[in-house]
This record gives sequence, C-alpha cells and structure tokens, in this order.
Amino acid sequence: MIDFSAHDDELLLEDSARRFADEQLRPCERAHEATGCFPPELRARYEGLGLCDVLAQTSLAIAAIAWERLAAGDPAAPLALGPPRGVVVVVEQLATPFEVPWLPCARPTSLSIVAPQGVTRASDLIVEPLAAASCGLRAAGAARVTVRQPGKVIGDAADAARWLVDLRVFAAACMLGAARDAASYARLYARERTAFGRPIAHHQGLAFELVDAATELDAAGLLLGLAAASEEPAAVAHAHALVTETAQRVAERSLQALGGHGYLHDHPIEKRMRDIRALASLYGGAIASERDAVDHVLEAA
Amino acid sequence: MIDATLDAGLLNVRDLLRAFGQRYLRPAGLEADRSGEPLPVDHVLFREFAQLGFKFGMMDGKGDAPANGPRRGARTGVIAAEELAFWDQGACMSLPGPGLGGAPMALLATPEQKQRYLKAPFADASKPAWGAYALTEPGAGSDVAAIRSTARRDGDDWIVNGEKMFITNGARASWVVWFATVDPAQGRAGHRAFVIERGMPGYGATRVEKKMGLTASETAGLVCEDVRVPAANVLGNGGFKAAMATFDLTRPMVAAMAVGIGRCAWERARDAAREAFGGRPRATREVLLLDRLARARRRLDAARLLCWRAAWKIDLGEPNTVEASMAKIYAPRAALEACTIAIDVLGLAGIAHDGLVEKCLRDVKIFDIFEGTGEVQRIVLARRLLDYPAA
Repeated sequence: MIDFSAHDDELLLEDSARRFADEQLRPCERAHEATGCFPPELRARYEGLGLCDVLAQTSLAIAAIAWERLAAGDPAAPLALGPPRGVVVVVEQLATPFEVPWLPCARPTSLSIVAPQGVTRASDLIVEPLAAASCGLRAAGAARVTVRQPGKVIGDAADAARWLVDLRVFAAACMLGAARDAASYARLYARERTAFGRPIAHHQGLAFELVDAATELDAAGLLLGLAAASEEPAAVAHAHALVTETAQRVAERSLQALGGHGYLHDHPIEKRMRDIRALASLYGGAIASERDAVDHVLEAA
Repeated sequence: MIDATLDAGLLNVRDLLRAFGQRYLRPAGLEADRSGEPLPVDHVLFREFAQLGFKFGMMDGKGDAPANGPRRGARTGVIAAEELAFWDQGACMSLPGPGLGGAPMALLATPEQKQRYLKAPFADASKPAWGAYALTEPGAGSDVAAIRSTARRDGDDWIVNGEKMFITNGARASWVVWFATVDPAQGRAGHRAFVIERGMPGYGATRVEKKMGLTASETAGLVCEDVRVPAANVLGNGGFKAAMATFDLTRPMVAAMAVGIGRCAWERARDAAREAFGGRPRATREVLLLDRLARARRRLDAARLLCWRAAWKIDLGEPNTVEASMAKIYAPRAALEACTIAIDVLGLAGIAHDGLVEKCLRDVKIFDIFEGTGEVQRIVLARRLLDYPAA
C-alpha cells in the first residue's frame, strides 16, 4: 500500500550518517579537499559506525539514504570512504589498453570494469598521479589510469546490469545529498542577508528560485527512492538521469543566491557545485542512463 | 522506504474507473470538445456514473476507513483522480456530486448540514445533482482575501450580494458554498462560507464560459443580488481558513489529474512511436524524440509520487501544505511537457483534433492556474520555507 514512512532501522542509519556528516565531515571538508585525502583516524571512526560497507548490511534503498546524508557533509566522503563495489569504471565496450583520464582514487591497485557484456577486475594498471587539482571530489584523491589488461572476469552481463544499478543509485544519492545541502545553505543565507531593505529571500524572484529548488529536489528524491527500492534497471536509469540534471541545476542556482559570496571558498556552495559536477561524470554519467532510458521508452508500461 | 504498491482495494477502484473512463468519459469528453459546449445535465454519462456508486466525498480521509483500519481516502482520491483524468478531465469534472464544495462541507458543516447537502441531494441515483464551490471573483483570483462579496445580518438571516467567476458546475449546482465577507474592515477574519441554494431569489448564473479546453466541464459566472440566506445555511466560522484548508485537501488530487492527462498524451505518443519506429535502428530524429519522451516520463512519475506523498499525509492526519503545494507546482508543468512532446512525436497529426494529444495540451494548461496558480503555490511554500511575509 502507498506509504512513505521511514522504518526504525532506516531512521537509525540515517541519524548516524547525518551525525557523522555534521560532526566529522563538514567541519573539515576544506582541509580534506586541500590534502586530497581523509585521515586514517577519520576512516577508523567511519568503519566503527558500520557505514563502510553499508550495502552489505541493508537494502539498496536504505543505503542510498545513508549515502545521501553523508554526501551532504562532504560529497567526496562516501566515494572515498567506502563506495559500493569499490573502485569502478563503466565503459561502453571492453577493449584494452584504454585510459581513464580521471579516477577519483589516489592509488588504485585494482579497478573493476563494468562493460555491457560483463564485469572484470583489472590489476595490470599504470597509475599516474594528477599534478593539478581536479574539478571536484578532490578529497577522494585522483589519478590517471591506463588499463593494460581487462583482467579476470568476475561477472556476466546480468551482473554488470546489477552493478550499474548499485553504482547509479550510489552516485545519484551523493548528488542529491550534496544538492540538498547547497539548497538548504542558500535558504538560510537568503533569510539573513538583506538587500533593498529586506531579506533577499523575501524578494519574489529569489524566493521562487529557492522553493523551486526544494520542489525539484523532492521530486527527484522520491523518484530515486522508489527506483532504489525497486532495484529495477530502467527505473534506476530514469532516476539517475533526473537527479543528475536536478542536482546540477540546484547547485548552480544555490550558488547564485549568495551572489559573489557564493563564489568564494568562505562558503561550501562552490564546492558543492564542483563536487556534484564531478559525481555527475561517474559511471558513464547521465548520458549513459539517459540512453538506457531511451531504450526502455517503447517497452514502458 | 517508499512503498508505491496499490493494494487490492485501490486496484479495484482504479480498474473500475478505468473501465468506466474508457467506455463513457473519453467519448463524452471528445463529444463535448467537438461541440464546444459542456455536457448537458441529462447526458447518459451522469446516470451511468451514479450507478457505479463511487463517491468523491472522502477527501478528508474519513469516508472509507475500514473498521479500525488506517485511513486511506486521500490515497484513494489521488488514484481515482489520475485514472479519471486519463480518460477525460473535462467529463470527469462534470460528474455529479458535491465537487469542490464537498471539502468545506466536510470541514465545517454540522451533521444536519451534511445530511441536507452531502446526502439528500445525491440519494436518488437516477437524478444527477451537483454542488459547487464559489470563491473566485472577477476582481479577486489569486488574491483571495480581496473578495468583495458581502453578507450582512438581517434578523436571523443574512443578505448576500456579489459576483463569482470560474465556478465549476456553477450553473447546474443545487447548492454552492459561497465565500463572502461579513465585515470588509476585518479582512480575512471577516470571511464566512454560506450555502446558497438553487432557486433562492436573486441568485443565478450570469454566463457559461468558452474555454481553451476542459470543454465538457461547465464553468459559470454567478451572481447574488440581495439573496436572503437563513442562518442554517452558514458553514461554521472559519471562512478564509476553511477556504485555504480546502486547498490542502484538493491540491494533491488536482495535481494527480494533471498527471493523468500527461500520461494520456504520453501513452498515445509511445504507441505512435512504437508503430512508426519500433524494432529497428533509429534515425537521429527518432532518438531525439524518444529522449524527450523519456524525460517527460520521469518527470511525470516523479510528479505522481509528489501527489501520493501529499495524499498519504492527509491519511495520516498530518499537515500537508508543503507537500500539496509542491505537487501542485510540479505536476502541471510535467504534464504540459508530456503533452508538448507527445505532439512532436505525432508530427503534424498531433495538431489535428483526433490525435487526442492537442486536446490533452489544451486541457492540461489550466492545471497551473486553477486551485491556486503555480505562483501562489510558490508563495505558500516560501512562507513555510523562507518566512516569506504574508501579503
């Protein structure tokens, strides 16, 4: 029966993810971004909370809620601290050697490759550190990787589809959490900052932008929640596509709400926008999920 | 975790309405759209609907709760609204019943008033009857507080004067919930709801509007000239608040109707696409069309979930103003997008009347306007989320 209630286990996990984000991630996110890593003691605390391999303990839909809360504190954290399925690239076809120009991982020793026909684990890699900072997700580290051999086959086409479901839900949940954080930051700021004699949130042009962001995030979030619960590839492709589009737009609009201040490192919003942009490129990005959604249109009920 | 399954009860409602919609609503809606006139009060559709025994007077969630079971009326309402609108929203709005007037009745009426207005007029299934809701005036649409209808005491009675506009089923209604001010100096606090009955001297319809769409549905202008209204016809005390609370109950359903129209256009376009370019490699143009269809589909699906969430909160008995406004902001735009792309998929045939989708486009546009425009919804949300000041 139609029901949007959160169950107790869900609330518990959500709460511990939220607290970890607020207490451990958010206060240090600029430092972690600057160093390009999360310190070992933070990793240890994360593991202690059982958030590391959250998918192994619960359903995809509930894991998505945890990822979303964590990403609100630092969008790079879920990826760096314990992504589902480890370090992964998604390719259109498996032909080695190939180069991954940017991989959000400092020193990968192996790399899972998801291709339409199956999944392999490559360990014959050339890893080069990237000299200059990437657009986003810097705290996760970054490398250019050349895959010389596809490596051992660890899954067939059905497994590849299953992996893609997890990966897309993961990326979408992180984007959603980051965008929700940016939107709520912009709302708070706009209620405090005054211009022309009143809070800027009370100018209709900006007020409408801010409430539209909240509406669109809820719409995308509900679609993602339902897709994650269904674990159905087409539903997940649609949700990933909608979240990617929505999160990027909301991040940019939220930055705009702060005017010039939003452009500065003094506020987290410019980082949210960059991180979301980088998350949107993972696992084939929205173009791949949009293509999968297109393939499904004619069969859709 | 979101559960979007429909239980057997909801599936029954949907299937029943699907059969009814296909057989009666769709042909009636197309017929009215061709003729340019609302369905006449003696249309066969209305007798058939009465025999179905499905009632809409359950938007408060109380109407159909099984003994000791959770309330489910609002969720039933959104499922029903989407399904009926899928077949024809104009014909659906013309169906007999208390209509939008049912919600303030449910909120404010005494048991005697409920018997008189919600039960008695609709008891005889062979005689279709309508109720209506009259808030909007020629000079006061979104700015509801600015209504100029007046009611002044005269002994135990009230004398009501004023003009209303855009009243669904207004000319054919047996009664209409009429919002008027008892003291313009009090602003919103002076608003009261009166039940004006057909036949009261001085009350009548001034015009039936010609519209872009929803042709099957009658949209009327009404007037009260020194209408004497007995005290027994006054609904509760909460005029403005009741008018607003009504919207929290109806907006999820209205948004769900938009989803239904969007789905109608979308499915027509999908079927056309299947026929035209299914099962073979696609040209670039076809891929672009399918991509736009896919985009429209996910927004429609997301819109439906916003509607369902807002309805679910009603069933829980929780405030749902934010959720209802979000649904009402998002669904009409998503549905309009679906209708627009559906026309593109059909090509020039999409502009022809029998393509159906151009009618969907004309029908769905009003959903971003009535029951609170998209702009009003944004103000409602801004008040909740941003402390946006009341006007």
